[in-house]
Amino acid sequence: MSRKSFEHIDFNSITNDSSGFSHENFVSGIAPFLKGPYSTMYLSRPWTIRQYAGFSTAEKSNQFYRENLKAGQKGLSVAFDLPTHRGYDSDHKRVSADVGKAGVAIDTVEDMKILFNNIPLDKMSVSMTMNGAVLPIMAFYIVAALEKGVKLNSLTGTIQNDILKEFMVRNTYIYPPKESMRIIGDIFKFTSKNMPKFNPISISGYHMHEAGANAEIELAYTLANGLEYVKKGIEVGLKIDEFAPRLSFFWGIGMNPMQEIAKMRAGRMLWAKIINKFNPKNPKSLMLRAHCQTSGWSLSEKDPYNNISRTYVEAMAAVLGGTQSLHTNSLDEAIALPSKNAARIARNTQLFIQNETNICKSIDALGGSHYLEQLTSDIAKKSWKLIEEVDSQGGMIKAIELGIPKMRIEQAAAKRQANIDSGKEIIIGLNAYESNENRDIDTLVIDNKKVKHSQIKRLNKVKSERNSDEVKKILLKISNSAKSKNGNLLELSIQAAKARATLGEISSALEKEFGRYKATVRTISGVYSNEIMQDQKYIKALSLAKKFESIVGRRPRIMVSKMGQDGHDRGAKVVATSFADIGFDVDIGPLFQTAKEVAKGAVENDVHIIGVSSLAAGHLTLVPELLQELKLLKREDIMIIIGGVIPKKDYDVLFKMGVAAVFGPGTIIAEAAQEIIQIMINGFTKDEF
Amino acid sequence: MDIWSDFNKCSSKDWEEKVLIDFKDKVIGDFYWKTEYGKINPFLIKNESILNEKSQEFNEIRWRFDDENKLNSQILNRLKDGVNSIYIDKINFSQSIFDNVMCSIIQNHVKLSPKTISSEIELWNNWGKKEIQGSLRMDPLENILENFSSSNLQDQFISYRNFNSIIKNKELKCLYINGEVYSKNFNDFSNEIAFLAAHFNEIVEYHLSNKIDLPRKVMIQIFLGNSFLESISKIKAIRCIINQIIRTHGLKMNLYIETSPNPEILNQKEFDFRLMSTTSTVLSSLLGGANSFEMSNSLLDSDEDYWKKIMINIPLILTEESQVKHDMSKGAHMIDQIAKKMAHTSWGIFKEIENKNGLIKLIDNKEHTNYYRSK
Repeated sequence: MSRKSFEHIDFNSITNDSSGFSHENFVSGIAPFLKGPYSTMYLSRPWTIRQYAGFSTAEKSNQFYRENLKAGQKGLSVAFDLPTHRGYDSDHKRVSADVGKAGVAIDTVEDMKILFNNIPLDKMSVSMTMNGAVLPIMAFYIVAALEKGVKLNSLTGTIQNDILKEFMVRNTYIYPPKESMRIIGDIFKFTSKNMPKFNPISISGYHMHEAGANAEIELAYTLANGLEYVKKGIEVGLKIDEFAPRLSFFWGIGMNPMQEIAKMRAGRMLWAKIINKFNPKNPKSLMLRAHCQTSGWSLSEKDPYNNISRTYVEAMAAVLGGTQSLHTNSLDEAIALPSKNAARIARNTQLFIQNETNICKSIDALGGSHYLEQLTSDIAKKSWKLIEEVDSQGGMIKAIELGIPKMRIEQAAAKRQANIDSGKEIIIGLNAYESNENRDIDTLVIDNKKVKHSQIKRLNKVKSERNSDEVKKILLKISNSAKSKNGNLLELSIQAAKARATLGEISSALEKEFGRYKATVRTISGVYSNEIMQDQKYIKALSLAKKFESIVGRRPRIMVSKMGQDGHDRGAKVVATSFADIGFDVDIGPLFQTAKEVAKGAVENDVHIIGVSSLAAGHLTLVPELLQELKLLKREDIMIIIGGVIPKKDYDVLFKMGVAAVFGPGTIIAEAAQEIIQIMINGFTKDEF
Repeated sequence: MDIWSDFNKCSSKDWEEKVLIDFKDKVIGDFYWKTEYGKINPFLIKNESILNEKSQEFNEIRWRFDDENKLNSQILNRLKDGVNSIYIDKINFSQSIFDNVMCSIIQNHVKLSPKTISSEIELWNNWGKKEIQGSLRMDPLENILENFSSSNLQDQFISYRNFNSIIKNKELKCLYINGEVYSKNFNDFSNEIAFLAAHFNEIVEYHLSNKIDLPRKVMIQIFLGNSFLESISKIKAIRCIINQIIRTHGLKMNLYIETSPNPEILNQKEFDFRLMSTTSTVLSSLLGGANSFEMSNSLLDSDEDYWKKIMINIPLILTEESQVKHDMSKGAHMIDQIAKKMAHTSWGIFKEIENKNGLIKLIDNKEHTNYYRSK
């Protein structure tokens, strides 16, 4: 038998010009920028590796930044501590647990100068996550640059300055929405005139994503917020082309890569469509440039090494979606603040993708995939519908006042939690394929007392060396400007920074006129139970709650509280709504409480349990304070449980203090409820006999 | 109403013109990706795909066992970790291997060496009479590149003929190609794919000329590297070429492509690099439409069970948490373009090998070294 000849056989190729989608044949560099904002994307320059970091003192953070830049990082992204975010100096009585914990403490321009010591601000792009205390922080940055001899027009970078999302999810606001919007208008005016290379806002979907929003909600509400800022820019007298090219966006990137890629593609097109209505002359006004961060929420405490793969997948999605810069989370993010080694691996994830995968030789590498194009079309249409809905409600500020975006996001978060708890959504190592062994990893510990001491020492030194009369005069000018609406608040804050006014003083001068915003706490109900009603764990928790009621004579009552300046309330809200569905009476305390306020609220409401939610590493300071306050009120019988980002090594310490139960990330809520009720039943029956 | 009606559609030409406006000192070719299989144009916005090949679903997360020591407990541990497929690589049969292993609900793959004696093949045949899924496989051309000798080859084919006559369970029979050897020996995709195709064709020719029934399944094992788009495209190019050979012979066979990371690129690397590289190859495998993903001890620098579990979690995370499904890249312009160019170049080399009377003859004449590129 003769061998088969292949000599004249070739392939049949198919050339297909049409994908069947109406967004087909949009490219990169030309509106509406389906494939990316720049024509050649990573072919000419890869994305910027921009790791968000900051902790402890300005000296420590500066050292960390310089080490990272040496190791291949290309831009800086500053994380400030919670007191700084909320406009408090490090010596303020409300911030004892938070100084230097979740970011770097900055009280004066002297701290800012140390933070950027030996970093060339005219060459280094600096991103700063600051929203509430945006005026003093921008002012410190500007004055630090000027005093180092750097001209304002050479400063490049981004200030987050997206206050609207703070009212929806992140909660590090200071002033009410309308007053906060004035600040944004003043920053737009100043930067468009003096800092042409600086992005005066980063409109952020990330925090919505982390709070539980799905792709279309994140996209729609972020773009709708963006539209509000554009209207503000126009309202303060700017032309669209004077500021729109410098607006930037910030996306959260979760575990479903195709969905995230589609979201980023749809986002660029929708933004171009939104801005097109303002008739810009400069095509750059239509361009959506984005920074991305991989999801912290998607990481698990159990088997943290799995998080390397999770972050890798998310980073790939961000890159395939065409991000301009990227932060990759550390594997220990669900347990503690990032350690040095974990931060190294996180950075290496991006270096691996840039250098090993050849991904930078393509633009929109998965573009054309039938699945991706369908998803892009679907997400764009659903988001557009939501944007139109917000518009019909009178815009985003109105929608925020009505609480609609917050409610939608909380509903999505509760639904997702129920799906995870019931096993409909699989998380490896958590509700499926669990490991028998858990390896401890080294985590970063911040000596909060030491940081606070050092900050207060420098703060006092600055205060003692400045001209106090000059400071008083300029602070008065700021208050007057806030009241009269005359003058530019950023220009005045710069004068105050030059005179060495502190962050707390500048914030306080504004607060005198603007007031400090207090959010109305709203809760949703029925979402968790709807999704999980057939689940055995949920049914058992329900029955235990009823058993408790029959023994004690009333339903178990819990107060969910957030102490300190940590505004991350996804966990607290999800626990509150799920526990209510399980059969608890639930009180939710206001955000940003002191231990004394929490104890007082718990006693007044006669709760059985205080549920402390802690995500900013303040638990070892705040829980002892709370126990002490309960003791003073003679209500040591009120049980304390704690949930959130709690390192394993702290569990025993907390138990020894008297905490009844600790729940880390990934806790199945129905199981936690069972455990808590059982502890209470045991306590009651023991007392009875 | 079309929500994009505000914007004009673009052609590749419009796109390229914009690039040249943005980069006045460049020509468009400066942005092309230059590869050994051709220049890849990143500005294409139409499908340039090779024949639309159907592929089987991705449904196996597999561990390879090549160490007899405590094999049964190794298998049970990996199954507990989450694999649904086991691969026993050249280990002599023993009933105890499968103690407490629920072979009927997992995929069982057993590879026999082409030097296996008939009595050993009989033992595996008896085991394979049960209702199990998977494959019993032997590659008669194994090690042909490294240790070629005519007499060895003759012995291997005798063993292969015995294997085909002894194994009775048709569901377990497959035509198996160990393509990993070509990933190791060639430093380029075109030659690797061409040699793999020639290898396949050589075995098909052997079956046809010796009137040995051809099984319905073709199982091809390949290594993937870190080059993400090329790995996806490689799977597609291989599928296209093998199916083209099948069609040319007028056969009906279902192709299964089994992927795993190339252990050579993990040598001397830290664990985080290993995890990233493995994640990258799992993602390529899924997006490219592979049918299984295989891991083994060789991917780790530790023998601890903990790290094996972490490794196994990677495909579980990708499939369960990320919801990455089989061949989601289908239709992607860039990948289609790479796969097409890779396949065309490989096909040309394959035809050249066939014109020289096939792979065995080529190696016998020591002409195969002409195709090696320096690493």
